[in-house]
Amino acid sequence: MKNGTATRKAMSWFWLILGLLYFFIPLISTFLFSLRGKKGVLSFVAYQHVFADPKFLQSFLFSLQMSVYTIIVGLVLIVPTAILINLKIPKAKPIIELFSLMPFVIPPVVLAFGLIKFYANPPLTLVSSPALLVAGYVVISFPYIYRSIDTGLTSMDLKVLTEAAQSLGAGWLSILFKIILPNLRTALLSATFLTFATVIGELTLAVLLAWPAFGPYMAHVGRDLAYEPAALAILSFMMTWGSISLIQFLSHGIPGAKSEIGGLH
Amino acid sequence: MGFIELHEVTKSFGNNTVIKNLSLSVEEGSFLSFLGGSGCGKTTTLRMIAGFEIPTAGQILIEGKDVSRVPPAKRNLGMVFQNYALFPNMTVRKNIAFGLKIAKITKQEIHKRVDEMLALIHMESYGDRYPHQLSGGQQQRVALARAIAVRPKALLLDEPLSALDAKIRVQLRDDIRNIQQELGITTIYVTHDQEEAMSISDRIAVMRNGRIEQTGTPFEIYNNPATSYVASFIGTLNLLEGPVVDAARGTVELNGTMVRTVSDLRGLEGKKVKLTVRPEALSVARDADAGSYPDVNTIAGTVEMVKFLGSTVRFVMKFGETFMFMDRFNNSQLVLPKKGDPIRVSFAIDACRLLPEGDAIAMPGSGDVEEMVH
Repeated sequence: MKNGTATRKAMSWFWLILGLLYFFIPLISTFLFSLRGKKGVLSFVAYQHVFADPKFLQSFLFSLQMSVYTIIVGLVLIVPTAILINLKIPKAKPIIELFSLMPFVIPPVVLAFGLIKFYANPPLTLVSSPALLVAGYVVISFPYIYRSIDTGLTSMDLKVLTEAAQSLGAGWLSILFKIILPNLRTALLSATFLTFATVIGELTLAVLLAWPAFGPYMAHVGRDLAYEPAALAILSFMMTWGSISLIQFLSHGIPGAKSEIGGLH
Repeated sequence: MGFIELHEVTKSFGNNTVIKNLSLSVEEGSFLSFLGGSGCGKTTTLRMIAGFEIPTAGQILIEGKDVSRVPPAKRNLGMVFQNYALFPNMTVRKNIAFGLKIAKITKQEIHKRVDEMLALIHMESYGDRYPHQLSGGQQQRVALARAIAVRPKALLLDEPLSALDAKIRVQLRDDIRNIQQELGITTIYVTHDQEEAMSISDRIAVMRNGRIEQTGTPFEIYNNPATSYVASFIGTLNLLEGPVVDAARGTVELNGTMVRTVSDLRGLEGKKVKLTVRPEALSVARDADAGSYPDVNTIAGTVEMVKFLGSTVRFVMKFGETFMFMDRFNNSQLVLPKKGDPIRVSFAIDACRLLPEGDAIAMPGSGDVEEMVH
């Protein structure tokens, strides 16, 4: 009995360590490679080059701006839709879920050409407007936003809470701002940071719609330089982990809340 | 006119009609329970009263005003849900204060009213806790306090105790009844638990297939069931089947033994009828009493099983092909018979009634006994 428990424990540790090695070895290798910008010594010179390049900050700020617009438009569109579907038309849920998978099925290049073809001519000539890029990003972010929000709504027992609030005399605005959104905080944070991570690194739409975003910048650097792309990869990774840590930090203290990443508890 | 009235209310979901021409009147300050099995329409009826469902036809009146199409937020009815429905982002105090804030009551008044409610549910020291820090019973108390804090016209409770364990259920149902009586608030309660309904209600409406089978006090429902369904749904029942041999005297032959009833058997001469008698109406007969009391039926059979139920002991007996239950209060002097022992039981003829026409649900004395005997 004791032997069996010890073996199971040893196996658990074995698989955990194997998983951690699988995850961290490439990461450490990339990090070490990014430090070899100067021959013979380990240094942060590649990082210095990255930060010294004005295009780095320019493209990053542009993508940051686009991500903020995408988050705002995405949440304004998708949160009420998800609430409506969960409350009033649950039969439409499978259809919306199917739609939410479309960005995974249809390559961004198809979306980009569709947008260019549709919006290149009057009456809606939007091809040179950043609004078209934001619209494309909203489509790409749709699965992440919708699934995060939907999971949040499902876990809060939306219908009963809404009915309880209604029975206490609350109107729809009170229900939305005092009950639903506060209880959806973790899901909103998940949706926000997943959208941010998606938009910051997005390449295809930005390239085809000809915008100086961070994704094309990283691709350009990767084509021409050796150590700087590794430094950028580490920086992107740190930003993603920073976002996840921020979700954990901000959702800490929300009564009964559990962090949700990509619609998973 | 009742405080809450339903006039020929019908509710359909697509082609499925779940409530059929239901009419009901609830007196002000009374406690009415909707009792019935799953899918009988009791929750749908409550939800129509609350305003969460709109009747397909008919009217719902509160204080004489038609509220059939008034949204729930405008009805001023307190609602308690099965799964508590406390707002997870708010403390107990804030949950209770929610409806008061919506009603734009002054801060001092809200504070005072919340304190009163916390005292009413005996949770004065729990005000700053969040719902997830409370037990199920405590959460339901808070839900009750939240519902009554706004001083609603009526209180609606949708199976509020079904998610709680047995001991808490009994305690909380007594609390609900006490609070209802203290405040004198008109209350409609949905339950599938007959014991729960009988113990707290002024009146019970037994529902089946979207209709009310019978409305009455727990005493009336139990002792004078209007339909075969009510008779079989409420409590445990012995079923005695045999031909009417003397309709004028109310005599039915049961496996060679004559059994009398006070029910009217005129016109049923020679026909097979079903008589009912409650297990608690039976007692062990002494041989010396045989034939001594003309208003008492006595039948002889054998003991099949003795089941200890705590405060009572249930005897399962066999009379010919008929199984019967007899309940006796438990006491330390009680001599328990063994399987196969002969037994004679007696019951008053006025405890023996004709089962009303109609289809009964699984009758005790058949399925239940089979389960116990085998």
